[in-house]
Amino acid sequence: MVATATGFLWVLLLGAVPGSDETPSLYEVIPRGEALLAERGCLSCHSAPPVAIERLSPNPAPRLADVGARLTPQYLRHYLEAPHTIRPGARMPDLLGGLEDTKRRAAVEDLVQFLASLGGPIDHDPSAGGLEELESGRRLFHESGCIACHAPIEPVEALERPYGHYSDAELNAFFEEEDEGLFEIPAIPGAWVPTDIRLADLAERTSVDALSAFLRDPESVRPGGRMPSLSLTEEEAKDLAFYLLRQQAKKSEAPGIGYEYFEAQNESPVPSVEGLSPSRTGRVDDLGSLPEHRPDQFVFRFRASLKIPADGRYRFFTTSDDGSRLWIDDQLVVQNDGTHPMQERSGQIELTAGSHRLTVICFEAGGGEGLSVSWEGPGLEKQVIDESVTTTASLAFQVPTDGSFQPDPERAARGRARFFALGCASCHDDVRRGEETPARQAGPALANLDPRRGCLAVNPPGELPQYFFADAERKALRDAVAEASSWTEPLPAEEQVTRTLARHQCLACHRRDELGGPRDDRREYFVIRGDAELGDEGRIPPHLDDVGTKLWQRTLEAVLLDEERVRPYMAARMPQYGKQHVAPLAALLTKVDHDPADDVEPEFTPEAVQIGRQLVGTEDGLGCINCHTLAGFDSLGVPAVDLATMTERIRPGWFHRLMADPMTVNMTTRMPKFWLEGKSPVDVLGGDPDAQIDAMWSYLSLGKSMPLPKGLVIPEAEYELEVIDEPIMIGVFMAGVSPRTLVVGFPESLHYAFDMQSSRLAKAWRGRFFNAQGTWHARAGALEAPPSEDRIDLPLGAPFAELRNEEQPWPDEPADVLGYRVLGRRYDDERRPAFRYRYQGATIEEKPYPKLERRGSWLVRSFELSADREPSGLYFRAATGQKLRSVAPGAWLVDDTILVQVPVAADGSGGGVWRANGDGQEDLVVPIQWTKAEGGGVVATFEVEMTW
Amino acid sequence: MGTMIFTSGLWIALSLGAVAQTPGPDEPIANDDLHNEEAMYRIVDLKHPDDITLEVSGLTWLPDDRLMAATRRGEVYIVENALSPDGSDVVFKRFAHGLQEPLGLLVKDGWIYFAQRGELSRMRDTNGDDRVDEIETICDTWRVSGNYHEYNFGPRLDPDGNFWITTNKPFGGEPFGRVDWRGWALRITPDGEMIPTACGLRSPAGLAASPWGEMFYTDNQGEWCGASKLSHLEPGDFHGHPWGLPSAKREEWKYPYPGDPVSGRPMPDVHKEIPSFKLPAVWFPYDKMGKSPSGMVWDQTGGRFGPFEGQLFVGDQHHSSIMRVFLERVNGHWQGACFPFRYGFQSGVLRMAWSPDAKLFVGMTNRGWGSRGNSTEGLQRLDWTGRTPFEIREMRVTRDGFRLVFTRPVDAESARELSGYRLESYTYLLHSTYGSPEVEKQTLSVSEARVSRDGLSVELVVPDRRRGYVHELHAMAIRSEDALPLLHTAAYYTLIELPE
Repeated sequence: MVATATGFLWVLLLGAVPGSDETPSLYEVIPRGEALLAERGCLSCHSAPPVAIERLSPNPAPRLADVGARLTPQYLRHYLEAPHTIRPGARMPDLLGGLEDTKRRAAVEDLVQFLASLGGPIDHDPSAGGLEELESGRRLFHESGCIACHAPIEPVEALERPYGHYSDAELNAFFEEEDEGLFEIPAIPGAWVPTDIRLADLAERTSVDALSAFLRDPESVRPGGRMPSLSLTEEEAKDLAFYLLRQQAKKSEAPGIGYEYFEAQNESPVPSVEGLSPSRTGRVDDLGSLPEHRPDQFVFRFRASLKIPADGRYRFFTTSDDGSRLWIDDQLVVQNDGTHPMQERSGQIELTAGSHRLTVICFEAGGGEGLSVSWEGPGLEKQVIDESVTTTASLAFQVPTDGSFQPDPERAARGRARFFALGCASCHDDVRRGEETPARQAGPALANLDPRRGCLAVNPPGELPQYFFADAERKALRDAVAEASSWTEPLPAEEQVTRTLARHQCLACHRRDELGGPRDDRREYFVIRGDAELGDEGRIPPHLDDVGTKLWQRTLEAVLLDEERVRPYMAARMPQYGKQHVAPLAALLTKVDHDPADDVEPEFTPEAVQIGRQLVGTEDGLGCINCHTLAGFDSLGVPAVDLATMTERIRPGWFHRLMADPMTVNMTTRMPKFWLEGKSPVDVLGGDPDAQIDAMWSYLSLGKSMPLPKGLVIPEAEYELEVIDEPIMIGVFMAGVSPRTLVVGFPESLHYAFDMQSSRLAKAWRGRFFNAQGTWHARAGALEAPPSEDRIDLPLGAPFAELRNEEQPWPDEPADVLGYRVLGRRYDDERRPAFRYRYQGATIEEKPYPKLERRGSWLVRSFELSADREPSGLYFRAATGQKLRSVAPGAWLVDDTILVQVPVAADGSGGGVWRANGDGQEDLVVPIQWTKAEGGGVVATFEVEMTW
Repeated sequence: MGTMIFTSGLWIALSLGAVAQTPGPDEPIANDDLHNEEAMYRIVDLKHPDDITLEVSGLTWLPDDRLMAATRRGEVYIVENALSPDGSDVVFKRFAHGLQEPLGLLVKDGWIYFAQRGELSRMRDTNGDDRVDEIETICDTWRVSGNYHEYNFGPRLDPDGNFWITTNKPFGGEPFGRVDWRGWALRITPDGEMIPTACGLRSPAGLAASPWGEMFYTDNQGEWCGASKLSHLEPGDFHGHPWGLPSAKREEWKYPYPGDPVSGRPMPDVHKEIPSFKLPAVWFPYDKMGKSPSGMVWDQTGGRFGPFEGQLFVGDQHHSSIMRVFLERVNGHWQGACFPFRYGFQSGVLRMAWSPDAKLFVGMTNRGWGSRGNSTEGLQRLDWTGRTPFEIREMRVTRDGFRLVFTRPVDAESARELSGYRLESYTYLLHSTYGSPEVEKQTLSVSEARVSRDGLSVELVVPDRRRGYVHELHAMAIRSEDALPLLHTAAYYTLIELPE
């Protein structure tokens, strides 16, 4: 796929897949002799009438005008020395066959000097990238369609593990690996195409810059249009080049901090990003702020190597909104968990001088966000961690140099003379001799050739181009040459279509008339972007049966020439082959497939539009919008092709057949058949299927200006839950809490979220209760958040714990890990739930509810505990914060915002214990006071009230 | 809907009469226009108030002869007057809300059991006001990653008193991290212990205990599930989808690790390579039968629902239909045939339940997936009108072919017409891509057709049957004694074992 001096790759490309069950190789479609005439450049020397040229569509040789800037001298030498030894089946003939060894070597060296002087020599400056760019290139190569023609480099399972997870040893092994492609393609005896299109020695050949330029515009180097453009951006082309040239990579350290950015939904206390693919990666100079991000629901992971100047004790700080954690090597040093506004937490660690691994993870659920990471230590004032003390991995890609090559203008001039003398310019006709038009090697005209002599002799004379044809190839060529004089009429359109599809490997992705489609060993590389559950329709390019009567010609042209894409979910891209090569295809397909009857549009009436609109919608309609996007509005399920584009793309007749029975036009479609036995499920237009389909066409023909059908956009307000009299409950996935969160709303406009999984009252808020759209609309499953900023987060971890004494820190583990057992819930007379669970032999029931007070509502947490015997050292944790202040007996002000009242006995005892709990954190705990129960056992009841 | 043939008042009177009485002996049906699905099985709409979103996810009949319906929004309704002949006057009372996507209901010992996303629970009304007072957690040993597709279906009860549930695998992001036991059948003992029982499930939307106590489930076509299917669930089974296999390396799994399936193998070969890979009882060929099988019920009505006693009715969400399944045990493997039964429900059929008088209640939703039925949700009832359709009641495998058993005596001459049978066999691939084409297709011929003396069964001699293949039969020419064509001419027999 990279430019070479010889262009052998086209041959490989054209016959990429012998041995495949599904994809026919070129010579199964195009007679082999004709294919050889086109691909081996025969018509460069042997003139042919236009009708033969049109028939064969000869593949011109690569452009060489700036080949020196693209290819290394050592590769040029290597190749020219023995093109057919290093590349069996190479397309370029050997023109030096008549020379004996020493002279031949001298000639090659002259030619190398000349070619290297064309725009060269190649730039040896290294290109810098990171693992992330490499990862992006890896995905582009395997997922955007390259592997339809080129052998995959990695097995499909390997792609699940990003390079970020590779150890240094694994990465180095990967960089050194000789790539011979994963798949052994059996050579077919006598075939002129021995193998798949290999990319094995690219790293020896070219540079990142040259390769990425080529990938963006392959036609400028390879005018035959066999290698298409995948419409890569400059960045993508570079990433892909990094990947293809990975053997050139040298890993090193550069100042700064690397990061990965995940657009992930989050969990508390701090999410794990293991196994996730980052949406973006990059490098920052310091940890004083966050790189660019979306407003909510994201995670950053920063990693760097941190230089510790001297042995000693260091303190690290994170200030973050929401939670963050910091590790040195594998030790957790700062734990700043949960969802919260900007808050600082710190931790200390003893470190030796030298390099240590720094990892920081921070996440944002909703609302404001921010991060700053600092440190202090021996002789080091508190300061933000920046690039002066950090390094991060970087990759340098450099073209291998060849010490033996020195530009030698004299030899280059000799090479130039040889180039023209040998007739190289007959094929590589962009290299001009002064102002002259390129000289054609004078050979007999095609029609006058003796098929048993010249290049086609069994042992061609040394002064002629040497092609090293296999016997079967030579025979095929001789037959074709003998036939050539009979090529007086253009091929039938059908034959032209087939040949064009074969020539450009369209059938490696698309099926048409039982031919083609991705071969079995490649199918799994075709993937869907994102989470859409569209089956094979979402990942395998569509079949082309009858495509000329399915699509309008202008649509075919747009797809072939204007990069039009209607399936945003499909990772494979429609390649662009260049106008010159595929522009006629749209017309040819139309000519072959098109039935004019398919163009007859039904009568357009406003009444039909209204009925069509009803049918497309979900209210007494067929529910097309259950699966199809419409004018940019998401469907209620999967993101199938936008309905607003249908009539501008598809002809009415084909549309009618699709609607009437989808499986007749696409065997594998998931689209339903709506009219069974001629009966319509909708009672309009007399239930007549044809009339209903016509009405839908009329409606869809409005395109983007169609009035939206019913059911597509359900106003968010429809899902607003308003609490009128009794409490309302809904089970949701909640960010920062758990996927088993019960949200409970009260008429007093104070509401809470209770984590059913870890028996924790997690959040409370005032104001609006909740909007259920994310949990009830379409496939739902959104990660929810309270709709109010007037809210508090309650302590993480278990509500009760067994402590040996009042100094013992509160356990970090959530209740389910500590051994709590969830028992369920009960409702009281006012339909308020009380949550029940069991811990340390005690049955605990918590009932949170609002209480109206003069200046607003308080949250009351009412507890009832019972046990057969008194559990030892059981405590309840009422609050955590950075700063707790006693304001009255049993009344505490937490972080100057939350007022918490815990029980105080009549004698003034109790009132909770305020204590330090780890670095910079304080908490308020209440020892449980048990009393004997009447029927035996012990009980405890108490209430904690809070407001903010 | 469903009013097309009821334009004749006479017919309405007739059919209502049949509903009211125990059906008498079959009368010949003189009028072919009346030999259609609607005339045999009548769909009755049970309208619900506009302010209720009745996306039915669970249905059960309460001991006090009222219907209970759970919804995907986490509500539970008691439905009164559900047996009203024309579906009018149905009353919905909200029993509970705030459950997390309950996808099944089961009544036992005064409690109502249901699976939520994160737990198996039970609930009851303790003061008789038709509102829930207590909800208890039976088991919450498994976890949820926070992906919408992690549905849990069930429970269903086995003879040992264990509750079975099936868990769906996630599709896409897992915000709380990947979790164990997704794509599994789990048993929960009465005291709440979880016993991982079978793995390799994909989207197991239907679960049912057979009358003889064994458990069956339905799965939806997709990746690693070449065709929708009904499968017998036994401890230690692997059903083909590798998603949940990492959990099979945990100590809670008491059976050998099944092995990792290789993508692209024909199903019968997979069974040879992975002995615990369970071939299905019945494949439902894509689109021909349905696209997404869901809940199911066994006909144990003693003939009060027509001639299909002992057979299984399986819903299809996409086709808004109910399919019918005949099962037989051959060499220890449950297998059999599926047949179209009733189309035309108003939305995607998800759940079914019998009333005590043998009417079939059908709960529906199509949110997020779409269906032929063009309502988004609802509840309907299927009443047998008392008329016996001419159907292939059973398709059995025999030593040399198949035996077809009919619901009405056949016309012997038409049954002996060999050209009236079209038969082909095919299997599917187990592979990582979505669904499988029908592969290794072969056309079969019927070499002989023998009609039994009573005219109720026909022996077909069929050479070249293959184990591990669907045998698709179309009986086009056959007529009943009274000249009726078959109501449904197709039968799909999944032949895993041949009788010895």
